[in-house]
Amino acid sequence: MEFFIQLVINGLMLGMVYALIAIGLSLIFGVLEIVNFAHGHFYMLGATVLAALVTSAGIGFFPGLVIATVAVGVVGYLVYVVLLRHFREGEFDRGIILTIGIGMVLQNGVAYLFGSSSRMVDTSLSFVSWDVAGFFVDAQRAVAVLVGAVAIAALYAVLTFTRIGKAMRAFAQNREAAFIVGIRPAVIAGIAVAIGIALAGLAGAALAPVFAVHPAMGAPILFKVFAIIIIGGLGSLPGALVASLLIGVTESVVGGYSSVALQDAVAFMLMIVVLLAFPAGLFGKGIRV
Amino acid sequence: MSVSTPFSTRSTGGVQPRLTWPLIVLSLVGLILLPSIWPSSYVVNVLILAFIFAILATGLNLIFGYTGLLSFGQVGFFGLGAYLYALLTMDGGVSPWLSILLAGIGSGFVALLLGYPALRVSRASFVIVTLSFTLLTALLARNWVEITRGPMGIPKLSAPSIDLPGLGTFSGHDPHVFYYIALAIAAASIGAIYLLVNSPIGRVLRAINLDEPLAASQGISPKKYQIAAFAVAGVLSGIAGSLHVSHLGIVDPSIFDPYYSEMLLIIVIVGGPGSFWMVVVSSLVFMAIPELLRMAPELRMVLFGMVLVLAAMLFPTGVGGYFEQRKLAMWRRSLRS
Amino acid sequence: MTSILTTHGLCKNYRGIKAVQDADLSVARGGITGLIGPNGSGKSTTIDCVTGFTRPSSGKVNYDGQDITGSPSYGLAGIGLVRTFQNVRVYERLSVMDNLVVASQSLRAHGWLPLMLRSTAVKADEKTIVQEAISFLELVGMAHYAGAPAGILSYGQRKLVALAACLITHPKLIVLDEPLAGVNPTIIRKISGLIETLNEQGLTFLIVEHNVDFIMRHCDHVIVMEQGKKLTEGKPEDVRRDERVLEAYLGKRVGLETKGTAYA
Repeated sequence: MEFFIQLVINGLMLGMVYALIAIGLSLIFGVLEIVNFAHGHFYMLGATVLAALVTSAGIGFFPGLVIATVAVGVVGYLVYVVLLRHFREGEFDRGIILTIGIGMVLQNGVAYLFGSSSRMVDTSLSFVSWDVAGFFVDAQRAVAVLVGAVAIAALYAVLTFTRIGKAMRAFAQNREAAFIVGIRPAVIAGIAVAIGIALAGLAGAALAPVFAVHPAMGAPILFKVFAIIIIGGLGSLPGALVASLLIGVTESVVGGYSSVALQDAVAFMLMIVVLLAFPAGLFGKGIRV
Repeated sequence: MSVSTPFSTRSTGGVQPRLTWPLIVLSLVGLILLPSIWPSSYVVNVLILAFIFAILATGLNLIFGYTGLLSFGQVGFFGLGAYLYALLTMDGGVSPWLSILLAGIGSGFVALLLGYPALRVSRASFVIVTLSFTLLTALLARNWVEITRGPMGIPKLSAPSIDLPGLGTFSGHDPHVFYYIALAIAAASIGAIYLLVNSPIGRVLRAINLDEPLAASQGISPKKYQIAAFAVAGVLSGIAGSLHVSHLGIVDPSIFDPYYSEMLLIIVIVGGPGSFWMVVVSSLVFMAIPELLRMAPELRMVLFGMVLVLAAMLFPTGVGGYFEQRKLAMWRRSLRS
Repeated sequence: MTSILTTHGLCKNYRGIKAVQDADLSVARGGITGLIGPNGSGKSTTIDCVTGFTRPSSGKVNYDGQDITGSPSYGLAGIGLVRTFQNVRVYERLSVMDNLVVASQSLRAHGWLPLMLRSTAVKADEKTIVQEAISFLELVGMAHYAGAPAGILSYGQRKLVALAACLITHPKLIVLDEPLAGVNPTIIRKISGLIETLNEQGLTFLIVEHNVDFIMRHCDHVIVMEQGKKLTEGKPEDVRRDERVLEAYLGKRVGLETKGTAYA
């Protein structure tokens, strides 16, 4: 039983990190109706920047976290302004092709500039673990989860209470109506994209000390997150959160009681089941794409 | 074979400069003679890879360019076909030629099964389900070690051989012999798809792509045709996969490397989705480029990534699409006069 | 006169909105039936229900003796029921000729291999279809555009091509969704004339329209819908004078006589 609870705790922590990435992806989809195939590579970018800051520039973990997140967010905003902004609704395939191209540039660019080998990032929290009510909690991961939770809560606050946040939600619900009432798409969508991508960067930076950092780390996480947002419902942020936690826990439990290989397949299996039973996802928006 | 009725019922494929039969025959003859003129093993191997990619790209072109469904499953079927070939020849003792055919059919059958759930909701789900299929297949290849031998793969694969009575048996392990095997299979499969897209079936596929509700109102079941096209593309990918590994001599999980998906996408986008011969030519060009442009592989991929970005932003219909737009402009001008 | 199309208690709900409520409609065989009503009255939803584009929430749809309730749209062209769309649809990147050839049914009876290899049977069929297509295009006056991509046509020209595409399926019942909307008077006359001619040859029409002039001149029977329900039906003259109909369109009567005008 204790083993099970430990697994669940690990799973929830894992799920929180997935949630950061999934929520960002869903946010972008809600606002642009584009599936951002470069999203995982922004996660990688965040990790890479943090690794560079901490190991090469000697900057502390928390300052590095902030810098990396902001940097990735800025890159995301630039990508929007230069490229994504010109896409209309319904140009679904083009958006995918574009973001694949961006991802290729990111992944191979980083590989070319910094090399393809993995790097490890050590911080003051590495190798530390805490005992919480008898359960083992890895400090670095716990910090990542806390950071993620704070970010998600902040996003929720922004979306619910600020004008910009409400404008984003309006925009995601009905572009034309939002436009008519004076919400300028370039500004709103740009901010949403920047936030979404920054979240992925944050996840990468927060997890850099936990996993090895290498240019190809973006792809596997991206595919998992795709499955997550399909399960949660494309464009639904609560759905992304719930599905992330669900997948995190399921993966952890499955991994703990059976093979690691099966663990990887969990997300996809669940996705297929959900697609067959609830085509629009658990919290689906019902896209007319 | 050009029809001389005043209004031809041949599908206006409409996106490529009409490649007449003489040109096709000429190119084939050229390709047949090439190894004699330029015997370099290196060139021969590059061309073999180009033929394989041409088959793969034509399959993606069929499902994406003509039918309008962006599928990321083609590499999955590529790998599936490869493993099926390996298992059939090694464990099943089936002849290589037959194995290639069966691997193709097997992949097509799986595509048929996958097509129905994949098309259930929206284009977004189709993209993601086909992508997940490829990832799952890659996962299986790595982990179902009893069957696939895991990351080590299955080595020492046999290759098809050409039996010419009176002249002897030529083993496909010799690249110069394999060249002709690959050329023959590529010509046959690509030729079959050419017949398909220029037939009334191809026209129906394009109609479904252009306006699904309209096609439905005219008695066409969109899903039936979409799944069928998906299955055919699966067959092609499976054949390409078997060809690839019988040439390499080994199959392992690296056949699912993102490199294949990325190259495939670039080839079809730059050639022009829906442009038949431009995509084939594009395969040859992109396989030749790495040899012509010597640079670090990562930098090359950065360049290719930028090409994709440029294509998505400015030329989503590729080279072939450019020709179609010129044709459209010509029509507009002639109607004005 | 017998009915070619009837609905019994047709209902369609969209998340609490009753787009169509309890509609009992009947389209007489061989006639031209008009379906009118203010915007939002449920006409388009009804059309979508009877042509298989929307599944009714409840009720039945009967066509030519068969129950087609909930039948998918692609099954209907084969039994003689076709429709046009409010925002006219053509295959823009196909030629006008190909637009008609795709619509025609007979090629689809062949297997894939004969089609790919262009067997003699297929070639013969193609020849027939091309001739048919030309004759229908001549009928609507678009024959000289046969080789042109449909995308370059004007709105009105597309409507004519869409009509020709319906005709090549040899339908028994054509459902037209606002065929006269957005086109100039010349094309209105052309389309009206075509409808009359085709009707004389035995084709049944169900036409959704706002053009009162057209309704008065060409319809044998008119059904009026309002807020999802059938308000009334009858001969055009009778319906036009019906107080409730005027109220539905114009609001309470203030003693004006309506003239025949086209509604936008």
